[in-house]
Amino acid sequence: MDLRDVRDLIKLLDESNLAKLEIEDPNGFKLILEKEQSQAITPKRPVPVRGAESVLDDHKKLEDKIVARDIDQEMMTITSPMVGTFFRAPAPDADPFVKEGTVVEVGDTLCIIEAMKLMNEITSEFRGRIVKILVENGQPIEYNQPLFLLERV
Amino acid sequence: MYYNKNNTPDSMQKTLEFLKSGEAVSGEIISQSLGVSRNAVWKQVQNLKALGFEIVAERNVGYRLLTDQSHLPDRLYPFLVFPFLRTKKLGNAIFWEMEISSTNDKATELAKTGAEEGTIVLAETQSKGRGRRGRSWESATSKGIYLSAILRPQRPLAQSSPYTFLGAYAVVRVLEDYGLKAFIKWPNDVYVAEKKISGVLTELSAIGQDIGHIVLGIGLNVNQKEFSPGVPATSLSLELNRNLQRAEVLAKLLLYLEEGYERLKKDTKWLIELTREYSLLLGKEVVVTGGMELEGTAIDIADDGALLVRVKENIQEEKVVKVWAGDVSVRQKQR
Repeated sequence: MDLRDVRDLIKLLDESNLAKLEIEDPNGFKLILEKEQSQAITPKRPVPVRGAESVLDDHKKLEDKIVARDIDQEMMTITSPMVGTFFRAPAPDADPFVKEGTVVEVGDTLCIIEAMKLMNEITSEFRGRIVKILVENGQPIEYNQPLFLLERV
Repeated sequence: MYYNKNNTPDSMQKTLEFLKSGEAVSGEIISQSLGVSRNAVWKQVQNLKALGFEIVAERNVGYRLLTDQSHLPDRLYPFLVFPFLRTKKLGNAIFWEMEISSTNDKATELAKTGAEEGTIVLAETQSKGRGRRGRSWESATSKGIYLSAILRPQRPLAQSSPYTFLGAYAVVRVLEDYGLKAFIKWPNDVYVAEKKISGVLTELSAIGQDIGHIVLGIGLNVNQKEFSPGVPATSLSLELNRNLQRAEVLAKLLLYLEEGYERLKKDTKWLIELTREYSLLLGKEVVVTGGMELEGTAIDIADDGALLVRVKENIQEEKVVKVWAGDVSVRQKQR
Protein backbone atom coordinates (compact mmCIF):
# COMPACT_ATOMS: atom_id res chain seq x y z
CA MET A 1 0.00 0.00 0.00
CA ASP A 2 1.43 3.35 -0.92
CA LEU A 3 0.75 6.88 0.21
CA ARG A 4 -1.79 7.43 -2.53
CA ASP A 5 -3.89 4.50 -1.33
CA VAL A 6 -3.81 5.84 2.20
CA ARG A 7 -4.85 9.26 0.95
CA ASP A 8 -7.74 7.66 -0.92
CA LEU A 9 -8.80 5.80 2.18
CA ILE A 10 -8.71 8.96 4.28
CA LYS A 11 -10.87 10.76 1.77
CA LEU A 12 -13.23 7.84 1.72
CA LEU A 13 -13.51 7.81 5.49
CA ASP A 14 -14.13 11.56 5.53
CA GLU A 15 -17.01 11.24 3.14
CA SER A 16 -18.56 8.30 4.94
CA ASN A 17 -20.53 7.97 8.15
CA LEU A 18 -17.95 5.62 9.54
CA ALA A 19 -16.00 6.40 12.65
CA LYS A 20 -13.16 4.02 12.14
CA LEU A 21 -11.55 2.09 9.33
CA GLU A 22 -9.22 -0.76 10.04
CA ILE A 23 -7.28 -2.61 7.37
CA GLU A 24 -4.89 -5.44 7.85
CA ASP A 25 -3.19 -7.54 5.23
CA PRO A 26 -1.59 -10.96 5.66
CA ASN A 27 1.88 -9.39 5.62
CA GLY A 28 1.06 -7.87 8.98
CA PHE A 29 0.63 -4.38 7.62
CA LYS A 30 -2.09 -2.69 9.61
CA LEU A 31 -3.73 0.67 9.12
CA ILE A 32 -6.24 2.23 11.49
CA LEU A 33 -7.96 5.43 10.53
CA GLU A 34 -10.27 7.07 13.06
CA LYS A 35 -12.52 10.09 13.02
CA GLU A 36 -13.68 12.05 16.03
CA GLN A 37 -16.87 10.48 17.24
CA SER A 38 -18.93 13.69 17.08
CA GLN A 39 -18.03 14.06 13.46
CA ALA A 40 -18.73 10.47 12.73
CA ILE A 41 -22.30 10.51 13.94
CA THR A 42 -23.59 13.81 12.68
CA PRO A 43 -26.04 12.78 10.08
CA LYS A 44 -28.09 15.62 8.72
CA ARG A 45 -30.99 16.06 11.06
CA PRO A 46 -34.31 16.89 9.54
CA VAL A 47 -35.55 20.39 10.31
CA PRO A 48 -38.08 19.99 13.14
CA VAL A 49 -41.58 20.68 12.05
CA ARG A 50 -43.86 22.09 14.68
CA GLY A 51 -46.55 19.68 15.73
CA ALA A 52 -44.76 16.78 14.24
CA GLU A 53 -42.92 15.56 17.32
CA SER A 54 -43.97 11.98 16.85
CA VAL A 55 -42.66 12.01 13.30
CA LEU A 56 -39.46 13.53 14.57
CA ASP A 57 -39.20 10.82 17.21
CA ASP A 58 -39.66 8.18 14.59
CA HIS A 59 -37.01 9.90 12.60
CA LYS A 60 -34.72 9.96 15.56
CA LYS A 61 -35.19 6.24 16.13
CA LEU A 62 -34.61 5.50 12.50
CA GLU A 63 -31.52 7.66 12.54
CA ASP A 64 -30.15 5.87 15.58
CA LYS A 65 -30.68 2.61 13.80
CA ILE A 66 -28.87 3.87 10.74
CA VAL A 67 -25.96 5.14 12.79
CA ALA A 68 -25.73 1.90 14.70
CA ARG A 69 -25.77 -0.08 11.52
CA ASP A 70 -23.18 2.16 9.93
CA ILE A 71 -20.78 1.52 12.73
CA ASP A 72 -21.35 -2.21 12.63
CA GLN A 73 -21.16 -2.30 8.92
CA GLU A 74 -18.22 -4.09 7.56
CA MET A 75 -15.94 -2.34 5.13
CA MET A 76 -13.38 -4.59 3.64
CA THR A 77 -10.63 -4.44 1.12
CA ILE A 78 -10.29 -7.08 -1.54
CA THR A 79 -6.63 -7.63 -2.20
CA SER A 80 -4.87 -9.15 -5.16
CA PRO A 81 -4.17 -12.88 -4.85
CA MET A 82 -1.28 -12.55 -7.27
CA VAL A 83 1.21 -10.41 -9.13
CA GLY A 84 -0.04 -9.26 -12.53
CA THR A 85 -1.75 -6.61 -14.58
CA PHE A 86 -5.16 -5.39 -13.48
CA PHE A 87 -7.99 -5.23 -16.02
CA ARG A 88 -11.48 -3.97 -15.28
CA ALA A 89 -13.09 -5.40 -18.42
CA PRO A 90 -12.88 -8.71 -20.34
CA ALA A 91 -11.63 -6.91 -23.48
CA PRO A 92 -10.43 -3.38 -24.21
CA ASP A 93 -13.73 -2.39 -25.84
CA ALA A 94 -16.01 -4.17 -23.36
CA ASP A 95 -17.88 -2.78 -20.35
CA PRO A 96 -16.12 -3.07 -17.00
CA PHE A 97 -17.13 -5.98 -14.75
CA VAL A 98 -17.94 -3.60 -11.87
CA LYS A 99 -18.14 0.11 -11.23
CA GLU A 100 -18.13 2.06 -8.00
CA GLY A 101 -21.59 1.52 -6.55
CA THR A 102 -22.14 -1.89 -8.18
CA VAL A 103 -23.63 -4.46 -5.82
CA VAL A 104 -21.89 -7.78 -6.36
CA GLU A 105 -23.06 -11.25 -5.43
CA VAL A 106 -20.82 -14.09 -4.31
CA GLY A 107 -19.13 -15.48 -7.41
CA ASP A 108 -19.51 -12.35 -9.55
CA THR A 109 -16.42 -11.43 -11.53
CA LEU A 110 -14.67 -8.34 -10.23
CA CYS A 111 -11.69 -8.04 -12.54
CA ILE A 112 -9.09 -9.92 -14.54
CA ILE A 113 -5.50 -10.13 -13.41
CA GLU A 114 -3.16 -11.16 -16.19
CA ALA A 115 0.14 -12.76 -15.44
CA MET A 116 2.26 -14.26 -18.23
CA LYS A 117 -0.78 -14.30 -20.50
CA LEU A 118 -2.81 -16.29 -18.04
CA MET A 119 -6.05 -14.39 -17.64
CA ASN A 120 -7.22 -14.81 -14.05
CA GLU A 121 -10.84 -13.93 -13.48
CA ILE A 122 -11.16 -12.83 -9.86
CA THR A 123 -14.56 -13.37 -8.30
CA SER A 124 -16.16 -11.92 -5.19
CA GLU A 125 -16.29 -14.04 -2.07
CA PHE A 126 -18.81 -11.69 -0.51
CA ARG A 127 -22.03 -9.95 -1.29
CA GLY A 128 -21.52 -6.23 -1.14
CA ARG A 129 -21.29 -2.86 -2.75
CA ILE A 130 -18.12 -1.75 -4.48
CA VAL A 131 -17.33 1.51 -2.72
CA LYS A 132 -14.05 2.27 -4.39
CA ILE A 133 -11.79 0.81 -7.05
CA LEU A 134 -8.28 1.38 -5.77
CA VAL A 135 -6.28 0.64 -8.93
CA GLU A 136 -6.28 1.85 -12.51
CA ASN A 137 -7.10 -0.29 -15.52
CA GLY A 138 -3.92 -1.75 -17.00
CA GLN A 139 -1.90 -1.03 -13.87
CA PRO A 140 0.74 -3.54 -12.71
CA ILE A 141 -0.14 -4.82 -9.26
CA GLU A 142 1.64 -6.65 -6.50
CA TYR A 143 0.61 -9.62 -4.42
CA ASN A 144 -1.83 -8.51 -1.72
CA GLN A 145 -2.27 -5.03 -3.12
CA PRO A 146 -5.71 -3.62 -2.25
CA LEU A 147 -7.93 -3.62 -5.33
CA PHE A 148 -11.44 -2.84 -4.17
CA LEU A 149 -13.11 -1.42 -1.11
CA LEU A 150 -16.30 -3.34 -0.53
CA GLU A 151 -19.12 -2.57 1.86
CA ARG A 152 -20.93 -5.71 2.89
CA VAL A 153 -24.66 -5.54 2.42
CA MET B 1 -23.72 -31.48 -30.82
CA TYR B 2 -22.71 -32.54 -27.34
CA TYR B 3 -21.54 -36.16 -27.05
CA ASN B 4 -20.11 -38.18 -24.22
CA LYS B 5 -17.84 -41.07 -25.17
CA ASN B 6 -19.21 -43.29 -22.44
CA ASN B 7 -22.85 -42.78 -23.29
CA THR B 8 -24.72 -45.23 -25.47
CA PRO B 9 -24.42 -44.24 -29.11
CA ASP B 10 -27.57 -42.74 -30.60
CA SER B 11 -29.31 -44.30 -33.60
CA MET B 12 -27.48 -42.05 -36.03
CA GLN B 13 -24.11 -43.27 -34.73
CA LYS B 14 -25.33 -46.88 -34.76
CA THR B 15 -26.45 -46.50 -38.36
CA LEU B 16 -23.03 -45.10 -39.24
CA GLU B 17 -21.42 -48.12 -37.56
CA PHE B 18 -23.21 -50.40 -40.03
CA LEU B 19 -22.05 -48.37 -42.99
CA LYS B 20 -18.52 -47.50 -42.09
CA SER B 21 -16.95 -50.55 -43.74
CA GLY B 22 -18.00 -49.13 -47.09
CA GLU B 23 -19.96 -52.27 -47.99
CA ALA B 24 -23.55 -51.93 -49.06
CA VAL B 25 -25.96 -52.83 -46.24
CA SER B 26 -29.67 -53.28 -46.73
CA GLY B 27 -32.07 -51.07 -44.85
CA GLU B 28 -33.84 -54.25 -43.78
CA ILE B 29 -30.78 -55.57 -41.92
CA ILE B 30 -30.13 -52.26 -40.20
CA SER B 31 -33.76 -51.85 -39.16
CA GLN B 32 -33.93 -55.41 -37.78
CA SER B 33 -30.63 -55.12 -35.90
CA LEU B 34 -31.53 -51.80 -34.34
CA GLY B 35 -35.13 -52.77 -33.77
CA VAL B 36 -36.49 -49.73 -35.57
CA SER B 37 -38.62 -49.23 -38.66
CA ARG B 38 -37.09 -48.98 -42.10
CA ASN B 39 -38.40 -45.46 -42.25
CA ALA B 40 -36.44 -44.62 -39.10
CA VAL B 41 -33.28 -45.96 -40.74
CA TRP B 42 -33.99 -43.84 -43.80
CA LYS B 43 -34.30 -40.80 -41.48
CA GLN B 44 -30.91 -41.48 -39.90
CA VAL B 45 -29.38 -41.85 -43.34
CA GLN B 46 -30.78 -38.42 -44.19
CA ASN B 47 -29.31 -37.03 -40.94
CA LEU B 48 -25.91 -38.44 -41.85
CA LYS B 49 -26.17 -36.97 -45.33
CA ALA B 50 -26.96 -33.59 -43.78
CA LEU B 51 -23.69 -33.86 -41.85
CA GLY B 52 -21.82 -34.34 -45.13
CA PHE B 53 -21.58 -38.15 -45.36
CA GLU B 54 -22.02 -39.37 -48.91
CA ILE B 55 -24.38 -42.34 -48.89
CA VAL B 56 -25.75 -43.88 -52.03
CA ALA B 57 -28.94 -45.93 -51.99
CA GLU B 58 -28.74 -48.81 -54.43
CA ARG B 59 -31.88 -50.59 -55.49
CA ASN B 60 -32.16 -54.11 -54.09
CA VAL B 61 -28.77 -53.79 -52.38
CA GLY B 62 -29.06 -51.10 -49.75
CA TYR B 63 -27.12 -48.14 -48.48
CA ARG B 64 -23.46 -47.66 -49.22
CA LEU B 65 -21.17 -45.08 -47.61
CA LEU B 66 -18.32 -43.62 -49.66
CA THR B 67 -15.46 -44.16 -47.27
CA ASP B 68 -12.42 -42.90 -49.11
CA GLN B 69 -10.86 -39.83 -47.53
CA SER B 70 -11.97 -37.41 -50.25
CA HIS B 71 -15.63 -38.32 -49.67
CA LEU B 72 -15.72 -38.34 -45.87
CA PRO B 73 -16.74 -35.03 -44.34
CA ASP B 74 -13.74 -33.11 -43.06
CA ARG B 75 -15.37 -32.39 -39.72
CA LEU B 76 -14.36 -33.02 -36.13
CA TYR B 77 -17.68 -34.63 -35.23
CA PRO B 78 -17.36 -36.10 -31.74
CA PHE B 79 -18.20 -39.64 -32.90
CA LEU B 80 -15.51 -39.36 -35.60
CA VAL B 81 -12.98 -38.07 -33.06
CA PHE B 82 -13.64 -40.64 -30.30
CA PRO B 83 -12.06 -43.61 -32.14
CA PHE B 84 -8.76 -41.69 -32.32
CA LEU B 85 -8.58 -40.73 -28.64
CA ARG B 86 -6.11 -42.42 -26.32
CA THR B 87 -6.71 -40.14 -23.35
CA LYS B 88 -8.22 -41.24 -20.04
CA LYS B 89 -10.44 -38.25 -19.43
CA LEU B 90 -9.62 -35.38 -21.76
CA GLY B 91 -12.09 -35.33 -24.63
CA ASN B 92 -14.51 -37.85 -23.11
CA ALA B 93 -17.17 -35.20 -23.54
CA ILE B 94 -17.06 -33.14 -26.71
CA PHE B 95 -19.16 -30.14 -27.56
CA TRP B 96 -18.94 -29.54 -31.30
CA GLU B 97 -20.56 -26.88 -33.48
CA MET B 98 -19.98 -25.86 -37.06
CA GLU B 99 -19.48 -22.28 -35.93
CA ILE B 100 -18.95 -20.93 -32.43
CA SER B 101 -18.22 -17.29 -31.66
CA SER B 102 -15.28 -18.34 -29.49
CA THR B 103 -14.58 -21.84 -28.18
CA ASN B 104 -13.15 -20.31 -24.99
CA ASP B 105 -16.38 -18.41 -24.35
CA LYS B 106 -18.43 -21.58 -24.92
CA ALA B 107 -16.14 -23.63 -22.66
CA THR B 108 -16.37 -20.97 -19.94
CA GLU B 109 -20.14 -21.10 -20.17
CA LEU B 110 -20.10 -24.91 -19.90
CA ALA B 111 -17.59 -24.81 -17.02
CA LYS B 112 -19.76 -22.36 -15.09
CA THR B 113 -22.77 -24.61 -15.48
CA GLY B 114 -20.89 -27.60 -14.09
CA ALA B 115 -19.28 -29.34 -17.10
CA GLU B 116 -16.87 -31.95 -15.84
CA GLU B 117 -13.11 -31.74 -16.10
CA GLY B 118 -11.84 -32.93 -19.45
CA THR B 119 -14.80 -31.62 -21.44
CA ILE B 120 -13.64 -30.04 -24.68
CA VAL B 121 -15.21 -27.61 -27.12
CA LEU B 122 -14.46 -27.79 -30.84
CA ALA B 123 -15.59 -25.61 -33.71
CA GLU B 124 -14.99 -25.83 -37.43
CA THR B 125 -14.75 -22.07 -37.41
CA GLN B 126 -15.01 -19.23 -34.92
CA SER B 127 -16.75 -15.97 -35.75
CA LYS B 128 -15.00 -14.18 -32.89
CA GLY B 129 -11.94 -16.35 -32.37
CA ARG B 130 -9.80 -14.39 -30.00
CA GLY B 131 -6.41 -14.12 -28.48
CA ARG B 132 -5.26 -12.06 -25.56
CA ARG B 133 -7.15 -8.84 -24.76
CA GLY B 134 -9.59 -9.01 -27.63
CA ARG B 135 -7.13 -9.77 -30.41
CA SER B 136 -8.52 -11.98 -33.13
CA TRP B 137 -7.50 -15.48 -34.15
CA GLU B 138 -8.01 -16.43 -37.79
CA SER B 139 -10.18 -19.54 -37.91
CA ALA B 140 -10.41 -20.75 -41.52
CA THR B 141 -13.30 -23.23 -41.76
CA SER B 142 -12.25 -26.84 -41.10
CA LYS B 143 -8.59 -26.03 -41.71
CA GLY B 144 -7.27 -25.65 -38.19
CA ILE B 145 -8.00 -27.06 -34.76
CA TYR B 146 -9.94 -24.63 -32.58
CA LEU B 147 -10.05 -26.27 -29.20
CA SER B 148 -10.89 -25.28 -25.65
CA ALA B 149 -10.46 -27.70 -22.77
CA ILE B 150 -11.96 -27.42 -19.30
CA LEU B 151 -9.54 -28.24 -16.49
CA ARG B 152 -10.22 -28.16 -12.78
CA PRO B 153 -6.90 -28.43 -10.94
CA GLN B 154 -7.26 -28.36 -7.17
CA ARG B 155 -4.68 -25.73 -6.46
CA PRO B 156 -4.42 -22.33 -4.88
CA LEU B 157 -4.54 -19.42 -7.27
CA ALA B 158 -1.00 -18.47 -6.29
CA GLN B 159 0.20 -21.65 -8.04
CA SER B 160 -1.66 -21.16 -11.29
CA SER B 161 1.17 -19.81 -13.45
CA PRO B 162 2.52 -23.15 -14.81
CA TYR B 163 -0.77 -23.70 -16.65
CA THR B 164 0.04 -20.84 -18.99
CA PHE B 165 2.85 -22.97 -20.45
CA LEU B 166 0.90 -26.22 -20.79
CA GLY B 167 -0.72 -25.54 -24.16
CA ALA B 168 2.55 -24.64 -25.89
CA TYR B 169 4.17 -27.77 -24.41
CA ALA B 170 1.54 -30.05 -25.94
CA VAL B 171 1.75 -28.30 -29.32
CA VAL B 172 5.55 -28.61 -29.39
CA ARG B 173 5.31 -32.34 -28.69
CA VAL B 174 2.71 -32.84 -31.45
CA LEU B 175 4.88 -30.97 -33.94
CA GLU B 176 7.86 -33.13 -32.95
CA ASP B 177 5.77 -36.22 -33.69
CA TYR B 178 5.48 -34.91 -37.23
CA GLY B 179 9.20 -34.24 -37.37
CA LEU B 180 9.02 -30.47 -36.99
CA LYS B 181 11.30 -28.46 -34.76
CA ALA B 182 9.22 -25.90 -32.91
CA PHE B 183 10.05 -22.96 -30.68
CA ILE B 184 8.07 -21.37 -27.88
CA LYS B 185 7.81 -17.62 -27.90
CA TRP B 186 7.45 -16.95 -24.21
CA PRO B 187 5.09 -17.63 -22.70
CA ASN B 188 2.79 -19.56 -25.00
CA ASP B 189 3.00 -18.96 -28.75
CA VAL B 190 4.53 -21.67 -30.91
CA TYR B 191 6.65 -20.98 -33.98
CA VAL B 192 8.09 -23.15 -36.71
CA ALA B 193 10.76 -21.64 -38.93
CA GLU B 194 10.07 -18.21 -37.40
CA LYS B 195 6.41 -18.37 -38.37
CA LYS B 196 3.53 -18.67 -35.95
CA ILE B 197 1.76 -22.02 -36.07
CA SER B 198 -0.17 -21.97 -32.80
CA GLY B 199 -1.53 -19.61 -30.19
CA VAL B 200 -2.83 -20.31 -26.71
CA LEU B 201 -5.31 -18.40 -24.60
CA THR B 202 -5.58 -19.57 -21.01
CA GLU B 203 -8.44 -18.20 -18.97
CA LEU B 204 -8.86 -19.02 -15.33
CA SER B 205 -11.76 -18.42 -13.02
CA ALA B 206 -10.95 -18.11 -9.34
CA ILE B 207 -13.09 -19.18 -6.42
CA GLY B 208 -11.75 -17.16 -3.54
CA GLN B 209 -8.07 -17.96 -3.25
CA ASP B 210 -8.33 -21.17 -5.27
CA ILE B 211 -8.56 -22.09 -8.92
CA GLY B 212 -12.17 -22.74 -9.88
CA HIS B 213 -11.60 -23.86 -13.43
CA ILE B 214 -9.22 -23.21 -16.29
CA VAL B 215 -10.24 -22.93 -19.90
CA LEU B 216 -7.25 -23.76 -22.05
CA GLY B 217 -7.78 -22.54 -25.59
CA ILE B 218 -5.51 -23.64 -28.41
CA GLY B 219 -5.57 -22.58 -32.03
CA LEU B 220 -3.38 -24.82 -34.18
CA ASN B 221 -2.90 -24.30 -37.91
CA VAL B 222 -3.20 -27.68 -39.63
CA ASN B 223 -4.35 -27.62 -43.25
CA GLN B 224 -4.25 -23.90 -44.01
CA LYS B 225 -2.50 -23.02 -47.24
CA GLU B 226 -2.67 -19.26 -46.90
CA PHE B 227 -3.11 -16.60 -44.25
CA SER B 228 -4.16 -12.98 -44.13
CA PRO B 229 -1.28 -10.54 -44.23
CA GLY B 230 0.09 -9.69 -40.83
CA VAL B 231 2.07 -11.88 -38.49
CA PRO B 232 4.02 -14.45 -40.55
CA ALA B 233 2.13 -17.71 -40.10
CA THR B 234 2.45 -21.31 -41.16
CA SER B 235 0.61 -24.61 -40.81
CA LEU B 236 1.47 -28.29 -40.47
CA SER B 237 0.36 -28.78 -44.05
CA LEU B 238 2.63 -26.02 -45.40
CA GLU B 239 5.60 -27.40 -43.49
CA LEU B 240 4.99 -31.04 -44.45
CA ASN B 241 3.64 -30.56 -47.96
CA ARG B 242 0.64 -32.76 -47.34
CA ASN B 243 -2.78 -32.55 -45.78
CA LEU B 244 -3.31 -34.11 -42.40
CA GLN B 245 -6.26 -35.77 -40.78
CA ARG B 246 -7.29 -33.26 -38.13
CA ALA B 247 -8.82 -35.89 -35.84
CA GLU B 248 -5.43 -37.59 -35.63
CA VAL B 249 -3.64 -34.32 -34.85
CA LEU B 250 -6.28 -33.49 -32.27
CA ALA B 251 -5.90 -36.90 -30.61
CA LYS B 252 -2.15 -36.34 -30.24
CA LEU B 253 -2.70 -32.84 -28.89
CA LEU B 254 -5.14 -34.08 -26.26
CA LEU B 255 -2.83 -36.93 -25.29
CA TYR B 256 0.11 -34.58 -24.62
CA LEU B 257 -2.12 -32.09 -22.87
CA GLU B 258 -3.38 -34.76 -20.51
CA GLU B 259 0.07 -36.18 -19.93
CA GLY B 260 1.47 -32.71 -19.16
CA TYR B 261 -1.50 -31.85 -16.97
CA GLU B 262 -1.09 -35.02 -14.91
CA ARG B 263 2.66 -34.39 -14.52
CA LEU B 264 1.99 -30.84 -13.30
CA LYS B 265 0.08 -32.27 -10.34
CA LYS B 266 3.33 -33.66 -8.98
CA ASP B 267 5.91 -31.17 -10.16
CA THR B 268 6.11 -28.00 -12.22
CA LYS B 269 9.86 -27.56 -12.72
CA TRP B 270 10.03 -29.76 -15.83
CA LEU B 271 7.62 -27.50 -17.67
CA ILE B 272 9.64 -24.36 -16.96
CA GLU B 273 12.78 -26.20 -18.07
CA LEU B 274 11.12 -27.27 -21.29
CA THR B 275 9.87 -23.73 -21.97
CA ARG B 276 13.47 -22.60 -21.48
CA GLU B 277 14.87 -25.32 -23.72
CA TYR B 278 12.51 -24.55 -26.60
CA SER B 279 12.59 -20.80 -26.13
CA LEU B 280 12.61 -18.64 -29.22
CA LEU B 281 13.62 -15.57 -27.24
CA LEU B 282 16.61 -16.49 -25.11
CA GLY B 283 19.79 -14.77 -26.24
CA LYS B 284 17.85 -12.40 -28.48
CA GLU B 285 17.27 -8.67 -28.33
CA VAL B 286 13.67 -8.15 -27.32
CA VAL B 287 11.15 -5.36 -26.96
CA VAL B 288 8.48 -5.54 -24.29
CA THR B 289 5.34 -3.42 -24.73
CA GLY B 290 1.94 -3.17 -23.10
CA GLY B 291 2.00 -3.44 -19.32
CA MET B 292 5.75 -3.30 -19.03
CA GLU B 293 7.84 -1.20 -21.42
CA LEU B 294 11.49 -2.06 -21.92
CA GLU B 295 14.17 -3.22 -24.32
CA GLY B 296 17.04 -5.57 -23.67
CA THR B 297 18.42 -9.06 -24.02
CA ALA B 298 16.29 -12.05 -22.98
CA ILE B 299 18.66 -14.06 -20.83
CA ASP B 300 16.63 -16.68 -18.98
CA ILE B 301 13.30 -17.90 -17.73
CA ALA B 302 13.03 -17.78 -13.96
CA ASP B 303 11.76 -20.74 -11.96
CA ASP B 304 8.42 -18.99 -11.50
CA GLY B 305 8.13 -18.69 -15.29
CA ALA B 306 8.95 -15.00 -15.63
CA LEU B 307 11.18 -13.88 -18.49
CA LEU B 308 14.45 -12.32 -17.36
CA VAL B 309 15.63 -9.44 -19.52
CA ARG B 310 18.97 -7.69 -19.14
CA VAL B 311 18.49 -3.99 -19.64
CA LYS B 312 21.27 -1.45 -20.13
CA GLU B 313 20.72 1.51 -17.82
CA ASN B 314 23.66 3.44 -19.21
CA ILE B 315 27.08 2.62 -20.64
CA GLN B 316 28.35 1.04 -17.45
CA GLU B 317 25.30 -0.23 -15.63
CA GLU B 318 22.98 -3.07 -16.42
CA LYS B 319 20.11 -4.58 -14.54
CA VAL B 320 18.00 -7.69 -14.90
CA VAL B 321 14.26 -7.12 -15.08
CA LYS B 322 11.69 -9.81 -14.37
CA VAL B 323 9.03 -9.65 -17.07
CA TRP B 324 5.65 -11.18 -16.28
CA ALA B 325 3.37 -8.91 -18.29
CA GLY B 326 3.04 -7.36 -21.69
CA ASP B 327 3.94 -8.55 -25.18
CA VAL B 328 7.44 -9.57 -26.04
CA SER B 329 8.78 -9.42 -29.56
CA VAL B 330 12.20 -9.96 -31.07
CA ARG B 331 13.76 -6.65 -32.08
CA GLN B 332 14.20 -6.46 -35.81
CA LYS B 333 17.80 -5.89 -36.80
CA GLN B 334 17.34 -2.90 -39.04
CA ARG B 335 19.47 -0.36 -37.29
